[in-house]
Amino acid sequence: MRSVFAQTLRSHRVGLLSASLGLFAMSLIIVYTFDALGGAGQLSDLYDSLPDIFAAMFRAQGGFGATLTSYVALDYRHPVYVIAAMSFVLSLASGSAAREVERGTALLLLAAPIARWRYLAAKVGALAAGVAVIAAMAWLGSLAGALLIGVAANLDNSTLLLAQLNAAALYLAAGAIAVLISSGSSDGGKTVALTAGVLTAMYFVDFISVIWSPMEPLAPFGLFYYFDPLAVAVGNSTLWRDVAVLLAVALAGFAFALVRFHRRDITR
Amino acid sequence: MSAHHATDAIRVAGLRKRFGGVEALRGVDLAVQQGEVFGFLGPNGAGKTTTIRILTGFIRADQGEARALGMDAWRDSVAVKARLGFLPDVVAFGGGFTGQAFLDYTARLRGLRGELPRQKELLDRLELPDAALRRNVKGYSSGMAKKLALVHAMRHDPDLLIMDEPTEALDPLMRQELFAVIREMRGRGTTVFMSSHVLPDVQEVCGRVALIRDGSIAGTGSVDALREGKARTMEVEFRLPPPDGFAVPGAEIAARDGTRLRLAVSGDVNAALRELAKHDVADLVYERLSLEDLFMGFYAPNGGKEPGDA
Repeated sequence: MRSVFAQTLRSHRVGLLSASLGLFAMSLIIVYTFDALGGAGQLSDLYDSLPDIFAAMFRAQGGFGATLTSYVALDYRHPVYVIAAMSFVLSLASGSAAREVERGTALLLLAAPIARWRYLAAKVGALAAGVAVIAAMAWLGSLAGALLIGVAANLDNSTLLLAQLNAAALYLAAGAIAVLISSGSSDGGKTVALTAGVLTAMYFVDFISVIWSPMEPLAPFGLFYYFDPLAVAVGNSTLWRDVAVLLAVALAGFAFALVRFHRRDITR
Repeated sequence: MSAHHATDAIRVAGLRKRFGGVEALRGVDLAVQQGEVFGFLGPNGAGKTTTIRILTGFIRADQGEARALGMDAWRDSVAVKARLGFLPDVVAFGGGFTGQAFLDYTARLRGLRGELPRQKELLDRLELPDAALRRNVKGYSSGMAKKLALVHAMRHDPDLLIMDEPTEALDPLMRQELFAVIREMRGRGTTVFMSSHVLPDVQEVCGRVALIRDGSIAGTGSVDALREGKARTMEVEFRLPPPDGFAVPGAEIAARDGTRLRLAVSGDVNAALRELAKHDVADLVYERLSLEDLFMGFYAPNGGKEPGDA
């Protein structure tokens, strides 16, 4: 199955490279902007003056912390980060089954004596490897930025690594939803649209639940509820619970997807 | 039939499949013996591709049995595919491959290692040169794509080769080369099961055929056997108009135009010839039924007779 793993990464190398380098650059630039925005003192005043809705977007109700580490961690939840990583995840996941069935390539590739679940498992492995690369590059970007402007001593790298672990678990859980949808579909476009719709709905439920209490009970049903890099940085995190929930969702989703793909009809 | 079970390369019994509200297969029965080249004919939507996808483990039947090489086509699909070559009706490679990269990748999936002399031979015979293999498959014509998929299906010398419309998009020379390859494979004991709309192709290479209509088998047998009992056409031109009340044993007069008669002969042709020899015949054309005539007889709106019906 190493062939399928390697080929999957090869055929998504442009998307992986774009997302990785994009997030590396963004992380690097964010470190640069810390001083440009006035450093800890002015940022603290700025955060205090922000309306609740912005605080909710970054899940910063417990405070921003206003350190370089918390400032960087806060931005890991920026929509640009999430969208860049998710675009790679959605592209690979939709291509893992639905698009291959849609185009008819599955008929040639799965004519080989391979169990379907093993074929899809190799693609899931490639997805996990890609997510690890993206998270690592985002972290390395922060590190590189701090080294370049000489503030490495102010940056808590291990904390940011844990924040990226939280991010990677989120991307994997989202990937599991996408692969699960893809495993039963014969339409790559619909798979992307449906997964994007589900994730967007989860994001907004999480966001709105913070500022509108009637939505609060729904928040734990969304993946973004368990993604809180700022909390990791300010030390009031439920990181291990969050990572455990996200990885459980990922494992369950991937397991169902493998079974579903193994048992489905491949029609076009 | 039971004596054949052990040597059946394909055995299908009571196969049923429904897609939503559409019943694609309504109880298909088939048996293909090892070493046969078997044609599978039918109009669009008759159930050919569904049957083939069930035999190749891509679709699970709702009911009935589908066995390939003595194994259950769904449950044992990995073991079946180890000995199977498959050409689907849709040829799509994906992944931004060059032709060579596709062959290399799928060789690794199949566990093929090292030099592949059979692949090289097939590439030469189907005229896919190295220059073509270095190109991205996105730029391939449909004929080139078909040839690459044929090489992919046949390079590991499978025991069973299943092909859905193998000659589509091939030029006449390539068709002849493909038939030569198929005959050689048959000589080595490979069973070939192919669907086609191109009836002369099936007629040329297949020993037996099955006709599928509305999801069930309308007839199975050798081409000659399917023709048996079917009316053949005889056109006779006399030097003088035949007399009123002229009759030919074993034949019906389908049309009469002065000195010309069109006869539908369904019985022993000798009786008809003896009667005609009593008259001064200027010309005679006797047409064997082509598979196409037979096909139209089955599928034309007013056709639908079972094999052997006159």
